[in-house]
Amino acid sequence: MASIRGKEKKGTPGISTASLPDIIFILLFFFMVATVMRERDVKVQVIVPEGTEIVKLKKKSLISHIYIGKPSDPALGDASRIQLNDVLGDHKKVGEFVEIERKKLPEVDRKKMIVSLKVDTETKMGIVFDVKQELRQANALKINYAASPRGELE
Amino acid sequence: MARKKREAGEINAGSMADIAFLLLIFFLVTTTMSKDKGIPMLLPPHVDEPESAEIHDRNTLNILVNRDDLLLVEGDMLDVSLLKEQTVRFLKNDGKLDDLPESSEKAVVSIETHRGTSYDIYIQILNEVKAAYRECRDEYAEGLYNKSYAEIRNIATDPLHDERKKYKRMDKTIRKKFPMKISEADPFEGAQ
Repeated sequence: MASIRGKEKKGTPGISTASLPDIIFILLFFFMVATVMRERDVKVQVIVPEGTEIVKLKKKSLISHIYIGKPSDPALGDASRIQLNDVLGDHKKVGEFVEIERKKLPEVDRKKMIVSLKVDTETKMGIVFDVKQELRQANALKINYAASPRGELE
Repeated sequence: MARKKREAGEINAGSMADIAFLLLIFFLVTTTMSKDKGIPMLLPPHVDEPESAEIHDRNTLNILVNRDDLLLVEGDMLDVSLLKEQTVRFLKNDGKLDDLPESSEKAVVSIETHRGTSYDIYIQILNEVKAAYRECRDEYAEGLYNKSYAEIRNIATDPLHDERKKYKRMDKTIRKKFPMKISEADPFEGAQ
């Protein structure tokens, strides 16, 4: 054995790839932290309106979403529906939904809760008004009309 | 030397990178970096019996939208693109004209929609009204402090800035001068 080893040539050593996993892991952790899993399937089609007076919402954890639009499933008809969490609901369920969402937040943040309304441009105001009325009743007064900056696609 | 000692086999870590890569690609694909953007609003608290506030007619800018998305502003048809201009004129009157508000503090913008009005036009109206307020506030801030309103807001909401309190006061002064009072009436029904 020893004699064979002695004969080995001393070539230039290759670049060590031992640290490659570490580098990849760092990237991996970054993306794991930055990822927000798509929590729910959106069952209604929503194209949000465009505007110029758009504000970015900072704390994602404070935001609950309500989607309003035509159902993606054609079997459900053409009328606009409201989606709360994972189910297509009725505007009467909004109060309940707000309570559930509010309980998920730590107590200090409960007053800061924001309900973001993702409403399709073609929706009629009647249904939006019903939802707003329910939100007022549930005392969820901070709302946000989701919109995208003009000239940019979401 | 006759007996070789068997070395404990090392686990090959060469595939570690591949595994990590797979995970990495998975997270890359599922990541959504998009931030929530939109037009923030504060709803008025719910009251059982709404008291009708006495607001002088000259102090309100009535915007009526019918179900065909046509606007009636103070009794005249108006295109949405001209709404901002009209609102700015309304806000900056300060008692000069008799049919416009006595002061910007008292001005109220009222938006009334039909149940069949599209959400799109509603957002556009809201957008224009907000733009008008921003313009007025900007101008006022520029005149008083030589800074844009956005800049003042930025510093006022930055918890790490040293002069935060001073900017908060500035913000308050501007908001007092141009309070964003947007009132939304219950949508009307029926043929219109």
